Amino acid sequence: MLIESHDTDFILNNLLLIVMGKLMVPKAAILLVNYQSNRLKAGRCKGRLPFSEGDSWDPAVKELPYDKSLYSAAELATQLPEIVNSAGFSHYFPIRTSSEHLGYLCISLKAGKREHGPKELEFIENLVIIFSVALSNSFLVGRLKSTNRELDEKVQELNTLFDVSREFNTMVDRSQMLNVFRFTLMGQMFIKKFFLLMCVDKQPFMVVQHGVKGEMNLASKSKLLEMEDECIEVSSLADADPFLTKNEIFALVRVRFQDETAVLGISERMNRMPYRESDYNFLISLGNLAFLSIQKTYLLEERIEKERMEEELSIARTIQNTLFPNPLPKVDDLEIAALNIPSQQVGGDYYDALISGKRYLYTAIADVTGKGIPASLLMANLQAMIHVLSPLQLPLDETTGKVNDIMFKNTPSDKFISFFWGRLDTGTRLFEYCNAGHNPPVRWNQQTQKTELLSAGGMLLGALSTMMPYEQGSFYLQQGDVVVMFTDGISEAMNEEEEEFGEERIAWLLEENHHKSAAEIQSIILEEVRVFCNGNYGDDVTMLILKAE
Amino acid sequence: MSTFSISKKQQESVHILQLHGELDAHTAPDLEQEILKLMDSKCYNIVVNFSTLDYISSAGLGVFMAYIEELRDLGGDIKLTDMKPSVYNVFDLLGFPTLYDIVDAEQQAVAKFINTE
Repeated sequence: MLIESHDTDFILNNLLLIVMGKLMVPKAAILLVNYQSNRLKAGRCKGRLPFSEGDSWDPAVKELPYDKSLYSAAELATQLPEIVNSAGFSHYFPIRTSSEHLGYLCISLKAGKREHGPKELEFIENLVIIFSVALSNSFLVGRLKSTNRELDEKVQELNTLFDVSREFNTMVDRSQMLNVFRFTLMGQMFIKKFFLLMCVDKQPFMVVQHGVKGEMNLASKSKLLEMEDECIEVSSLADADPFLTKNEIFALVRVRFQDETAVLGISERMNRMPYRESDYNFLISLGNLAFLSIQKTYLLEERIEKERMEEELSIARTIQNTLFPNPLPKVDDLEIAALNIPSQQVGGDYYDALISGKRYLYTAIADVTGKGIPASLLMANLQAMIHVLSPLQLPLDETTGKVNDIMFKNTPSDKFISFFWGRLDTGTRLFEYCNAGHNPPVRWNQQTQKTELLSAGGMLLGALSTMMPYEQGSFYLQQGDVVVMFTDGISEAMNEEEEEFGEERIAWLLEENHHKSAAEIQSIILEEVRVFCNGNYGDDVTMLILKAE
Repeated sequence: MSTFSISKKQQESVHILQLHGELDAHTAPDLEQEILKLMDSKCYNIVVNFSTLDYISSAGLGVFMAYIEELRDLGGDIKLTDMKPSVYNVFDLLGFPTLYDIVDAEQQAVAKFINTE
């Protein structure tokens, strides 16, 4: 029965009871050795003893002798702990198998300090041999059981990881994903307070927190994300953030993928079990899975957001296109050509040509600092003003001052507009203009056979409120005269040597080609610029050309 | 995909959830919803019968962990009953028996609730 029993306690108890009953021993104990922990432990004790079951000591366990089947107290005295020596045992029977030392059965003299007879001792020696086998078996079974359980635990952990990864793979909804992560931490690890910190948009961000209160400041969060160990217990941190200590965060686990780091903070477990190394490994694996999947959702959102932005931009582009005159107005004996190539979806360049009061042709060109949406908003603002003001036939210089004051109010301090506009009286051919800081348009004067620059005006729009009045210039647009208005996308287009195309080239091209039509001149200039900068305009490109017939 | 469903019944103050199929990361939110619903309507005595549950994953266990403390603070409890050995094994491996009242039969759990009232 004993041999078959795998219950260690039952075996030890029986051994003691048999020995004590048979030999009438008032004190007996079984000491067990553990080579792994290097300790000698009181397994079972009976009688009045100075130690109790479960106590253990650390003598040189490996040197405890077990060659003989019986030792006297004196023989072992130097090797056993003092407390065992003081217990009053007289005989020590090694419990051993052929290969290992399991411990000692220790007994005192009979009640009344009478000696044991040799037959009696021989009986115990034999008994111990039988028990040794039973005990060894029960230990083996115990070890097998615990190995089995460890295996089961590993299988369970793997199942969990498999389950979670399958789930994460099919999910795109982050909150669902975080729920699974939350449940798994609680269910598998019994963790009731935890958080997962990672970088979102380059900012540290708590993607999930459970059971914790308050916030960690940004500096502490960033510092956590720089942790170098894989696992750190908060108690070993010299300067743990109060958020960690207040929320009883016990350990920090680092999760890393390529250059990105996330930190999983965990409290102690609800079942008070300590974290073993295998638990940390599990947490790292689970953290990794969650980290990757959560990152995936952010990337996906980014892509969707980008697509949405692009769609909005393309709508904005459509709207902006309607702000340019289309078709260009028709005026007798005058050719008009214009073009605009934005470098992004929407741009900050503006040109316009509109007829007002049947007699006047307004032309305008402008360049808003910057590109994209902000520039296009200002451009739309300017366009609206020009369209409201042009029917009033106000003096250009004063009106430019008013436009500047409004623009100054409407724009942040780093946004300006260079602006040129002109008004042609189609009856008298008088061309009045005002240049607010724009690249001076080039005029071909047919009479003098020379080019001249139209620069009368004043400062850029939107930089300062109008203190100096704007000037205006004027001339009669004679037959054969050409005016080329352009933005810096033309004049500042760069070649590979980083030279600018320059206004001189425009003037020179105009001198060469003034006899051609407005549209031809425009194509020639554009083609020259395109070749010059090899198609890399770098900025919005806009031109407006007038030619008197 | 796994199949999972919950049927409900009530016996005096005790609400009994019968779980069917597989409770995993995918189906755990269903159970969470059900428990939240009970808590919202102030039903804190909950028995969960596992007799027709074939599989449970850690995420499934997590749902129980998530609400047990709150329920107990509110004077209630979740008692777990009628587990198949394979399901019990998972609970046991993860150390649930130390934290949860796991009993053999549903009526035993119901009786425990009623007798302590």
